Amino acid sequence: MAADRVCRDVRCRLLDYAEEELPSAEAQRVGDHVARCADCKAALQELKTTLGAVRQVRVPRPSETFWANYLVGVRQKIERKRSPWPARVVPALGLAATLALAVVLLSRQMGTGPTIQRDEGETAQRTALWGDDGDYVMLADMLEDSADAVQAMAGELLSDDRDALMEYAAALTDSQWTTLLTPLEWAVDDYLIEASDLDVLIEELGDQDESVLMEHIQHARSG
Amino acid sequence: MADDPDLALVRRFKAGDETAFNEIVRRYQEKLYSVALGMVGDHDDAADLSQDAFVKAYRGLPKFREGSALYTWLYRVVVNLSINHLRARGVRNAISLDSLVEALASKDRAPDEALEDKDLDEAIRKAVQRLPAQQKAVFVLRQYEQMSHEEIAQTLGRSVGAVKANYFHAVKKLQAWLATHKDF
Repeated sequence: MAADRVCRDVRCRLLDYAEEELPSAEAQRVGDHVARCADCKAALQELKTTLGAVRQVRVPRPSETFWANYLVGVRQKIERKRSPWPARVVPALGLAATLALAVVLLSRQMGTGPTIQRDEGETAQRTALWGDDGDYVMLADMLEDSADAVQAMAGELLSDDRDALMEYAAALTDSQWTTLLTPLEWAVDDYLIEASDLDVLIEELGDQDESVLMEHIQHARSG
Repeated sequence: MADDPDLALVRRFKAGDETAFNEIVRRYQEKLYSVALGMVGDHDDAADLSQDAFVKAYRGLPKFREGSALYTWLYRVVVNLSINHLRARGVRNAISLDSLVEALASKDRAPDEALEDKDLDEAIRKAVQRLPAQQKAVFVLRQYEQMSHEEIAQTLGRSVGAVKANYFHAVKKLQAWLATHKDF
């Protein structure tokens, strides 16, 4: 292996090496190289200096009074939010948004997402982005938002059933996403939403609302 | 698992013992506050966000699955709340690290002037605040909470590889920034 290539390889591992995260054999290899390479040795020293400075940062600690009142503050917030959430979330989100949220939740609960056909090129492109992080990149692209933002939202909303909704999400058209994501985002901001919440949510809908909801679902399924 | 004190508290709470929730709050209040402070950099906001995380926990605990770890769940809630807060505040990536470096480098400062420790603390805290949200979350959990990459991955619902990559980029950005301020 050429010297510069070895150095590049070692530099990629210096952080793990500095934090003693490398397996012993690999740590030995990196250590041997650093011992005879002045540039990599200097890079390691700079890294250690940075880590040392960061670890010595003194974070201001709140007063004892703050901690004495902390639990009271939590309890007061709980009391303010104690009323059942659907009674507040429905008017807050608006009917259309609530219906859109219900479409997602219902699809998750039923285990059946829409079966929208896409052209092969587009499907291949999005499949290529699939994966631990790719799904967020894909969604971020569709939403014109950052992957971080989408992941923050999805990480909480989908922690129990991420794969199911990601599968569902992959089949949605962009316009459907525009409809769906805003209420989802709002919901995540304020509430823990899980599939089991759906029954409560549905109870808030009148007969006409349920009809509209079913139309949404049929539309999503037919594409 | 049967001896897990967190699990015992969760079971007591599910059985209707409200004092168990108080114990959960006391057990994790400093940790959640610390994570929130690392994420948003402001005491009042961190206090609010960490308390909001407990409010969410209160609502979510009845459905909490006992196979999960309570602390990773609590961390995830407070991290996500913090990221949402940053988004709402509109500061996410509002100032790039490069622009920050440029602005600071242009200030009148003797080349060999080293920052005092207090200034360095403040400089590092400000630099951390300017990291992209996901990198910041990983960095805060790693450096301030001493979590392993595996624990962070579990907390954030990401792969270990993605967490390591985020951490690597966060450290490199901080290193580049610090290099312009202090002769290490």
